[in-house]
Amino acid sequence: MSNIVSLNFDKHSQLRVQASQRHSSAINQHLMPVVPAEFGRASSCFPIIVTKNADTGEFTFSAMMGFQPGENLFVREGRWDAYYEPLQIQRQPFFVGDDQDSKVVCFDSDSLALSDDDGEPLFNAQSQASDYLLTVQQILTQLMSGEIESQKLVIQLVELKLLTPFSLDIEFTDRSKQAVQGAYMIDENKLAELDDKVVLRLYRSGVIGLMHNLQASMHQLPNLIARKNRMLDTAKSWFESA
Amino acid sequence: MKTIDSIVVVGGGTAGWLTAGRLAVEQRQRRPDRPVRVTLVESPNTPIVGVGEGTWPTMRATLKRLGISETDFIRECDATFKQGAKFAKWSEHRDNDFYYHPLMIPQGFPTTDLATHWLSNENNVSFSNAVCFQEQLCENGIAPKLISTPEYSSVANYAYHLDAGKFAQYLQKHCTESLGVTHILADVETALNDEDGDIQALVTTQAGQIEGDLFVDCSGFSALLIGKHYRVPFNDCSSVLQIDRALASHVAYPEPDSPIPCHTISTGQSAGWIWDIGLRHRRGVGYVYSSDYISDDQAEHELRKYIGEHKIINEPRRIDIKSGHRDYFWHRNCVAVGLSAGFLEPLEASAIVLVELSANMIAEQLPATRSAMTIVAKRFNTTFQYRWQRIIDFLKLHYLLSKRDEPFWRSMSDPSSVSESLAEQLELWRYQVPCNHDFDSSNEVFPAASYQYVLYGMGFDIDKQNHRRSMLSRDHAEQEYQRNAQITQQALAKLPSHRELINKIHDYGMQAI
Repeated sequence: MSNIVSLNFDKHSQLRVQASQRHSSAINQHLMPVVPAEFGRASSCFPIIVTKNADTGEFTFSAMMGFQPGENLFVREGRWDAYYEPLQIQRQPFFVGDDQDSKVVCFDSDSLALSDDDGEPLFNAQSQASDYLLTVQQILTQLMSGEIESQKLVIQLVELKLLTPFSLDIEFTDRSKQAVQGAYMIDENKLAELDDKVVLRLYRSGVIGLMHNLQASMHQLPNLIARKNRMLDTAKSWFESA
Repeated sequence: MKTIDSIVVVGGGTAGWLTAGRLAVEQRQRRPDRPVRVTLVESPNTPIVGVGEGTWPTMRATLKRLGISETDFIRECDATFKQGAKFAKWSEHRDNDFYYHPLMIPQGFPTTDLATHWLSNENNVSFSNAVCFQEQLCENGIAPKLISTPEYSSVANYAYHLDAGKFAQYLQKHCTESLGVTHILADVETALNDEDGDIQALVTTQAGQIEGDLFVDCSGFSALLIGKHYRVPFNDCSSVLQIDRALASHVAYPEPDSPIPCHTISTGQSAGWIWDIGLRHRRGVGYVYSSDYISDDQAEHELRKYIGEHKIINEPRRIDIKSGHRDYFWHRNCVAVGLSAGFLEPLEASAIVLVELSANMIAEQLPATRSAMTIVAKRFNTTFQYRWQRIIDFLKLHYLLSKRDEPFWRSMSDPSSVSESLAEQLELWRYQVPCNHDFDSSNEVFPAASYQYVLYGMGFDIDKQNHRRSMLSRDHAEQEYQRNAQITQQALAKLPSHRELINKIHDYGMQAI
């Protein structure tokens, strides 16, 4: 459930955000959109895969947090359990909405991260945006420009045919099997075959660095599998001891 | 020794550009350092026929091979997806008479023979519904893929419907800009022979003489080279396939977002049938008929009755059809592709597939020298004589099983007009279902499965007493039917409407991978 409200000092001067609960909307999300500016940090925690938007078929970048819809292995016992929290979670429960021709900050008033008496205040004693709210606004701006950066990157990867589909067949410790399909990654061979001039251009524009982040992030796959196995083992011992 | 270094294609319709493009691609791959030059000469004064709007699934491979993006093709040619043909009022002249010839083989085919099992039981379910999920997709206006399915890949097999005029223009642009085909606008007046009788050059009004080593005649019904110049005899098939006229029109959709049928609708009329093809912004609707049984005025009246109150964008235009093909297609250094080689009738979209097959064979077997060309020409002729005969048989089959009683239909189903090969097969199929053994030539055009769909869709009369019994256990057959029903439900739940997918392709495009 969500209930969209635009943020307004008169109405929301007392509102606070519990930063530790920002991830509450993500507990059922197995793919979390990420923007190029955070590839480096995200790649140290999650595999970043390329998938297609189901509505448009367009490529998007997502941090993989589970193996199937509804599964987020980085929320453990209600807590966020990773060194890095993607911008899409940090911004919660705020987002940018349209009010006629201008952009306004909105929020989901049903969010569990909101509180009237606990957490970070949104406005200070001088009725101005608090440091916390300023940071949120900065994150929202980053996400907006990040969307454009993502599109630019996708266009380059598609034009140079640097994406290749991959699939995974995983068997977990409880013998359950999981197929991962519809995912794409950087094609190492195509990358190695690029013309020198193109490589230089891509290096200068930062694309090579981003591709290396994407490639490095794939080494997080074993960690993600291990996380799932640990979760299954925990469940097993729970039932055994019961 | 005379080498083949230059190919001249005459005619800029679908056949001309598809062939020129296919030859150019093959040659650039085979001899990148010194590719054979491909030139296309087109009259600035003769419009293309531009009626062929339905393709086979082979067109996907053809376009891909030409290096065309499917998104561009669909956007530029107003193309839509085609998952088969619905034949209405072919078997009987009543409103709910219809059957489907889908583009996917029966469930389990060929290892599991559901056809025999289906025949040996009383059925409430049509053959195509029992063994294939595509009829349901068509009946519900459902697309054969998702927006996230890569270009040229499918969930359900598909071909295209397209605007033939736009398609020729699009191919022209692609061939000249990306494949190095030279385009000359000039009227061909005559051809000059060398001392051996090969064509040495074309004499044109606007561009002087155009020399070449191989000439491809894609000049349409006028058959400038294979007919007018070489006088290769024409094998008239009008006693077997009697349709000799077409009235083609364009019809508007009631609303810009009206559903687009995802199949060709072919509806039997008193002296022929009406095609109905849904493109993005309009329908192509036309009546093909035999003038022996109906006047042009009456035919137009039937066509207008079919169109009803829908708005006609292009008034019916008459096209004369001479059903038949050349005795042979490759003579000396000239090969005919497209309408110049022949035409039967628009049924089953056999015209464009023959262009693709011809272009493939010429491209793949083009010899390096003139002396070797004679051998290739001989093979080409044998192959295509066989293919034309098989297409004639398959088209004839559609009429033969009709129980309609108008004079046209009685005449078309008269056993005396059936070829020996088809008569033999029909005799065999009274006792057993068409299987791949019946079609053992590598040059086969229509597969056994297609014959099954038409035969059992039209209610072919088998010899129930002596027909081969099903070897399938009841459980096994039931499993396969269940599997088909399951796939049908999944596909219906997962796939978007045809209109929705076409709109999304225009908005977002499809990815190549």
